[in-house]
Amino acid sequence: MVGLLLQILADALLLGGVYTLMAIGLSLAFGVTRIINFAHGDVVMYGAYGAFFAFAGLNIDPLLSLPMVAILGGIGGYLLFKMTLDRILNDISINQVLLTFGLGLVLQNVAVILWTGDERSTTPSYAFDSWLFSDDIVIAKGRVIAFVIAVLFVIMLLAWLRWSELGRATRAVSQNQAAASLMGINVRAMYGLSFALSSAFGAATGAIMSFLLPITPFMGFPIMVKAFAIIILGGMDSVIGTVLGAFFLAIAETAIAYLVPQGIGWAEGVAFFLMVLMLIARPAGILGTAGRDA
Amino acid sequence: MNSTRAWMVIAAAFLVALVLPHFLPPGLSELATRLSTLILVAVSWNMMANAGLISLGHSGFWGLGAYTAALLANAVHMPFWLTIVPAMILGGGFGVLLAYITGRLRGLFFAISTLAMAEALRVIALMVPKLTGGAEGLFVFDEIRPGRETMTSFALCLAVATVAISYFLSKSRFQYALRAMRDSESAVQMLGVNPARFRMGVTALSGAIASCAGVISAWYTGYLDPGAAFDMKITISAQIAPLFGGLYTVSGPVIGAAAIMTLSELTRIYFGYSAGVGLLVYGVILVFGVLFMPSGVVGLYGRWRNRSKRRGALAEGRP
Amino acid sequence: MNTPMSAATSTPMLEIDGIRAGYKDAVAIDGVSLRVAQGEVVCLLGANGAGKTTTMRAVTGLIPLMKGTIRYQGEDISNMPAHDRVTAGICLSPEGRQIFPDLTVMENLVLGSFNPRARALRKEGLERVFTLFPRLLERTTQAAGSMSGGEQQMLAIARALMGQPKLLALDEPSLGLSPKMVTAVFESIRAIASSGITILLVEQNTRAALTIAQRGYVLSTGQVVHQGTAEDLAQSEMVQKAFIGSAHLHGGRRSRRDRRLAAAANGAPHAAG
Repeated sequence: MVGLLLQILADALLLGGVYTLMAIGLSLAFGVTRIINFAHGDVVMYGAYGAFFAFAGLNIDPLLSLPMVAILGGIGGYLLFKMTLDRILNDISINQVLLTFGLGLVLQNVAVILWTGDERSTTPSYAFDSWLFSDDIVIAKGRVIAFVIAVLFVIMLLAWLRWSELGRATRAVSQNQAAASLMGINVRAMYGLSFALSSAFGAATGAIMSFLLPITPFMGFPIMVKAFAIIILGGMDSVIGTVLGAFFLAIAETAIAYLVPQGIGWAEGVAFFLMVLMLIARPAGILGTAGRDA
Repeated sequence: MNSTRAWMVIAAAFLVALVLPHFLPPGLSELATRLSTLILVAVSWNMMANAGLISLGHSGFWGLGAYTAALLANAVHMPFWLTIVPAMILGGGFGVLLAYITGRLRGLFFAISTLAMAEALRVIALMVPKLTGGAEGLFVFDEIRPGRETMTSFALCLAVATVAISYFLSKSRFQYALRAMRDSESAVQMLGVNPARFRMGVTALSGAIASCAGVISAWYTGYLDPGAAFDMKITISAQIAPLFGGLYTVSGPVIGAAAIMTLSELTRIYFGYSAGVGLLVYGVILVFGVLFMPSGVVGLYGRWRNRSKRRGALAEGRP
Repeated sequence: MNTPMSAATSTPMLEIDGIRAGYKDAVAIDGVSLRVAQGEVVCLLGANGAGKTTTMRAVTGLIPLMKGTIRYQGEDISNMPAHDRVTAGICLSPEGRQIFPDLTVMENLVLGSFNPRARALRKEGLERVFTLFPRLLERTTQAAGSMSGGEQQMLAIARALMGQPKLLALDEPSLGLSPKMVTAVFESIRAIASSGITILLVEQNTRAALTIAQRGYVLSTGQVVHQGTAEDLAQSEMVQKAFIGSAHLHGGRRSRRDRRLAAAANGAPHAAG
């Protein structure tokens, strides 16, 4: 019994790391721009494919190709923003939703046409290894690595937000845009920066996902939806909140997967149920401040 | 056009709806049915958008309607035309639930909530196979399925009815409330309308209409599974049609639906069932539509007419 | 009070010429013109809704101009985006303070010196600001949103100062403050003015404004209805008419005439003569 509990805890913890990765990019972009990027999941997907081709073609380990993938993702995200969203920043939100939605469709289906729907994977050795504790508890190596990377990312992001000029400016924009421009901050340029960072994080997440999940052009959508659930749970403009939301979701899903009959199937829906519950109870999430009449 | 003319047009449309399918070859018949379902969800989506509510979960209503129809057909052999009623009740009810849950949340939050709820429904459908057949799906009891012509007439009639409703709404006093709601829900109160109840009305009506589309689809194809019934493509088409044809207008969703359907067929002819091309085209339309044609085809037409009027006026020497 | 010597001969710091501006399609100000010379303290007076804040927003670039021009140090900045105007030296302490609530006092101040010109002078800026507002020095690590109204107002002004402004714009610094706080804040503003910084001040509290301004303009329903030196304005009927009651101009006792004017402004049936 204790063994089971510990396993659930271990799994949940590690899953929380993965979920943090998925959500953090989206949370950053939304906190600053108040625009939900429906194409975020597809950026992650492209990151995964990037890591895959680096692995399959050039034998580069995903962890090594990660920085490159992240940089390319960031540039790509920035360019996409510049060409599309940047032009409709003053439009009503319905247009923004439809635009990023459409972008997601385009990204996804370009991938379908280029690479078909076949599943791929990167297969570094650690993807299959696991550690065994006291004959009972299995800890997958791959997940631990994801967890470590997640922690690194969060720390880097928090440090940047706290101590750098642009990071501080980013926080200012997310709290009060008008006042931020009165500080001499070019809000529009900050939008571009947030999207670039958000995409960089997303692509990096994809590189990690490349050895955790099967890579298909359709992997983006469930990731995006889960990322939403997480930032709603944790508050849409707080990095710490996102982390808490990620772990909250991870614990809920893992517990259900293990304890409820046919739990694995139901676990898929946990994100939605929790999202709905949270929206009824506290739209601002655990730590956030956005909400009413948004 | 005034009321009598409107009623005459509607009556004529119903007539066509009842008669035409008997003269259509099977291929066109199928197109007509699919077009009707698209018109239903497009008008329904447009109705919500008109009130400032962006739905990303319209597939939820479709699936709800489809499963209701299929389950009732199988359980009590309910005739197809009757299944509309419980489907609309459930669809409307789901809409009310949506309004209740989202409270006063707008824009983004509302959109995500609709997404969550639609996905939640899909998971439920997947996870209770005893009721819904789960991933393997459900066949609709064959013996009571209507013939092709009947089904197409049914579908077309529903489409006509929906457009008629949309038209009369646009002429009613609710139109102002809708416009006000789009900008700000507090503005609506100034018109003496209770925003919460009004929102519920919009989502209920919208949901009821969209559920009918699911009913048609269930009876027409005779089979459904969670993936198809709650397919994201339904939501996507429901959005693209009004965006393309003209958001917030009466004819926009219809024109858009026809255009989308044509585009979809053309794509199929030229690219076969090549995976991804159809949706890619949809995506491109969405992106370019928002960037360059936010008022859709109807908007373009309006602008073209204004320009010609102005040119005409200049020619005659008027300012 | 020194009169600005070079007003006629050197380029004015700020020159607003017949501007029209508003929100979406609604025009809030129309045909507004005013001038601020270097080193002057000029105030914009007027009742609620007269268009003072709209004018400030137009000057700082938060809203676009529908018509007219704005010249800053001789250069046309009508189309310059807000953040560039800050770098050029126009810094605003906005109406309602608009501080960053979840950031600390220190972070708010540091952000004030975000623009490149001010960033190099950050240390000096902080020294100056803490000398002017010692209260802020005591609360550098406190979350700005948790401070009192008066402290937040000090922070807003300090933050604007951190931008190393050549033109300091203050929008309703007395709003919501106790009289004691108002006196303290205006003392600080006077100190800032005497250091040579040009100040454009928007105020509903006419008395306080006229104690430090050299000149002023009176706005009413979006137009300039009167202008003059501080002495002129303090005695002008127009100024008294532009407000409901002139009690704050005369320090408390209202004449019968004032009471009649006030009644008329409030809609009494027999209007003032």
